[in-house]
Amino acid sequence: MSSKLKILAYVCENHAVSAIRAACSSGESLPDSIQIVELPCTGRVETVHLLEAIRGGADGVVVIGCLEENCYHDAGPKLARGRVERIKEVLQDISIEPERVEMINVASVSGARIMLRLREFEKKLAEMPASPFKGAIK
Amino acid sequence: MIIGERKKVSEIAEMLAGKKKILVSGCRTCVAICMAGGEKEVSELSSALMLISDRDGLGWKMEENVVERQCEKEWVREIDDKIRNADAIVSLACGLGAQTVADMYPEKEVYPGLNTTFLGVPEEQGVWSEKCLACGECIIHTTGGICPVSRCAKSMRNGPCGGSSNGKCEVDPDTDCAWVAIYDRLKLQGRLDMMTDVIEPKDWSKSHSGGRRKIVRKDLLIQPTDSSGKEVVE
Repeated sequence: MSSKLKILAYVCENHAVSAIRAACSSGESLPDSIQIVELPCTGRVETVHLLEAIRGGADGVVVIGCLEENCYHDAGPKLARGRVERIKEVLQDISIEPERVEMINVASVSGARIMLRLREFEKKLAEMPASPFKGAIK
Repeated sequence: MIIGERKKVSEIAEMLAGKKKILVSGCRTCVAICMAGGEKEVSELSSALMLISDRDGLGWKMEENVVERQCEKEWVREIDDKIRNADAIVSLACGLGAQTVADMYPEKEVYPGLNTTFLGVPEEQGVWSEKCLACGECIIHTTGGICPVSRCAKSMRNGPCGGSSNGKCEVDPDTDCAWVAIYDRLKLQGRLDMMTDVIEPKDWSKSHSGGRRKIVRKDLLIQPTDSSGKEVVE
């Protein structure tokens, strides 16, 4: 079932992307379900980006940012976390699983950790009922 | 500025039952600064409403728009076509903006997307606090620049009351006692003697308690009006 999942990952191009590259260079690979959108900073992720990803048919959306104390732009991951939390509340309010949206913070050396967290996220989504917006992505 | 909080999306969606063409209209002034009804919030609300529509097959068509100041007719006129095309307008402006649209287009149904909460200031990122009640008779020159009407739960003119404890208000222990703040400010300014001045009872007729208020500046009027400042119907 997991191969049919679609997960959109908004990833900071600094430490977070480095962590993913580090994992891939050591033999791991990203789950097929994950489509990455690189951003200069996760502070660029707006709440509408999270909602529209779900509406577009993604089973889940994950924002992968740097550790909060390591942001090149000072407050990016903090802002992103706040927006993720806000959208979780909105989804809960309109009876959509808030767990479909997650935030992960990683250091550039944490390749193994980010892969583990992504597999856990994928597993959690696979156990949920199908998204009512499934198939919206062409 | 005017501070507002968006209503729950589910509450707004419930208001819109049976509608098809919906205009979500925000305002770039106060509610944009308090991040309740500006451009980003309009997009967020529209997207959340469309999630409901797509899931439940409601067939809503959503239009988004943000005007410079929704409380001013000339700005609202700029979106005349969008308003006329909509079955329902969700206003993410304050109650003033929402009512301006409702008054200009009495045949249209206007729904409030946020609750206008208070007149306040941003204290820090994400924190706003009430500092004025628009009571119509400002006396902060006698209280060290701190308004006891809005910042004291009892609007006391001569405080603090017996409920003040360790600088906090008995109504909410997280709220500073306004009169302790006034004492500290007057002490800093070397004007503590003002604490012993008895401030006269407030004339509440100048506040909303005296009924709906209106200001007419005859020197600014362009169109003729009667002496009462009767509104000109366009």
